[in-house]
Amino acid sequence: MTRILLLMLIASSALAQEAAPAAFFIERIEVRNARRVSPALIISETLLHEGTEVSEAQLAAAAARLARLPFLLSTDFALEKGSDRGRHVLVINVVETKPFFFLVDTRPVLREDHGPSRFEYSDDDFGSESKDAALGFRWFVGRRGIVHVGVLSQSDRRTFTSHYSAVAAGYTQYDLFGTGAFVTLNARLPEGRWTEGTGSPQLIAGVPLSASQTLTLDFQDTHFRDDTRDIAGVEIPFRDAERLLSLSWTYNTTNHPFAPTRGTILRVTPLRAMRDRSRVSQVTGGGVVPSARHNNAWGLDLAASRYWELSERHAVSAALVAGWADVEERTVGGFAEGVLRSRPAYQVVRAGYSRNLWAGQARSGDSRLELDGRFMTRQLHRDGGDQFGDSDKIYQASIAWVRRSSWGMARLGIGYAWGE
Amino acid sequence: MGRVAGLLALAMLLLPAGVAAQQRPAFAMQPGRVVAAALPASILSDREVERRLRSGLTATFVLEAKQRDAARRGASRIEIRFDLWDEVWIARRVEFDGKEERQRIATRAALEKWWSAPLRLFAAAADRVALQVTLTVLPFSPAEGEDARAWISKTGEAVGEGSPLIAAMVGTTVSAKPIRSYRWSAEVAAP
Repeated sequence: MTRILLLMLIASSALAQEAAPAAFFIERIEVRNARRVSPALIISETLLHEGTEVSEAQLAAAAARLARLPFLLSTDFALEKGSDRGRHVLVINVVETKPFFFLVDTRPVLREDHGPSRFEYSDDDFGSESKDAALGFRWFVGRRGIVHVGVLSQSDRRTFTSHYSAVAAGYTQYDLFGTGAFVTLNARLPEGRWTEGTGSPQLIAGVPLSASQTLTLDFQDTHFRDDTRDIAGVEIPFRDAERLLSLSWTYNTTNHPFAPTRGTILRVTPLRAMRDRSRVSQVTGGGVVPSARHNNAWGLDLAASRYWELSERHAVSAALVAGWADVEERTVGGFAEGVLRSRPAYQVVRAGYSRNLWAGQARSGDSRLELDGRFMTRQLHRDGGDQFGDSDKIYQASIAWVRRSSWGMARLGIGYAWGE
Repeated sequence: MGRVAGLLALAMLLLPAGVAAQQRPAFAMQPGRVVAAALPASILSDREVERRLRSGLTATFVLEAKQRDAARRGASRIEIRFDLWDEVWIARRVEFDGKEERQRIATRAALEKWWSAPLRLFAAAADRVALQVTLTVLPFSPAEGEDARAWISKTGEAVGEGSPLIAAMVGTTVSAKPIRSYRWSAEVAAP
């Protein structure tokens, strides 16, 4: 009888163990096939620590985090026996991207919504969390550092911030003080001002709150113009500078840094934008009249995207992106002296479908065809005035081909937009 | 010599057909018009699947059936993990109606036998049904997909089935890239 009870106890204990989620004691983490990327950097990005017990859910989240890194093409996790019973070695096999990289996202959209027909380029911020350069080169230095040079493009849906390209050189330090945080320092030269040496610093600091949540601070001090001109014997300063400070909370469980097919992205970004411009407002018979304009803006951007993989071939997605701001524009000098307040806003609802075109190994990259439909509204309310004429409703449809390889990511397509 | 060469040529000719036939599950309609699939052991021997099975981490197999001329769907799930220290296979199957079974399996041969046992995945409305069946092999256990489960539960009605289907399909919503996927067409009739 005692033997039967003992057997029943052992059996129920084994069953309870099987029912519980699997957890593994990781005594060591080993990165294999890393030639340029430092293993320490990869380990720090997993947010896993040697000498701790981890669940499969944590391992899956770590694998998803690595899958979103732009400098790794694919990763593969496996366990091996450790030094003693119950101990494991976590082996991460990686396939790296090339040190030279590109991120080309070219989708001219023929717009026939308002005004004359024209082509504009789609400024997507749905599925991509990466702030990678359009073209560049990266070197891995030390155990957790990356030096990069490249050409980057700054673009968003806001009406009160600048869109421009810049040459940038920078350094990123990962896993600051063993916390998993990172800091990037960039020195940028905006397009067209390269010879003037109007250096524009940028600081990005990110802290992972969990495997899928990150808090990111972005500070940009951009100088588009800084010179003086002699007009009618008067030295007039011509300046144009912008400061942006934003803090983003991001929840990201997607499986790809550029073209996800599974997972969710939620992003909330409060921001502060300031812009100073000085120039000549007019030349009168009595001489030139210099003027200066200062913009002060508070804004909030929200983005929510969800991706579903219906099968190995087909995936669908839905997204909502919206932003609101309060802008004060103060002008000193010239005829337009005074203060103008406005509240620009935008909302975009998007539905997408993508089809896998890639039959090869995942470690060689992927390729997809994307179809995208969206409805956009924009408003610009001015204090003391009526609604600005640019308030509109726009419909847009586009098609694109996406290819990611060890060299980079290209999204080439075309779109058509029409509106009321 | 000529005869050997001829036999070799014949074997080479028949080999692809043999491999393809091994990859195909056997479908049968059980009492109550329940369609079950007996999965071929050759799937476990696929290089990528085998590599995952030997990784010490869970491999999840999601089997989905969709009726070709109707919106009816059903899904089942199998999870297999090799315990490196105990050297046993920890296996679990969740059938289309939520029925769950867990096993500790000591040998590879026993695992293949367990794997090939009929897995109930679809409730048919008639005695004959044409199905499109897909098998997706995913890394990791879908237990990580609790948020996905909650998300899909809200849209469960749109899927047209209740929570067992959701439970089985959660495996397809985790943020991992499939290791492998298979697709078959099947016409299944009551005996």
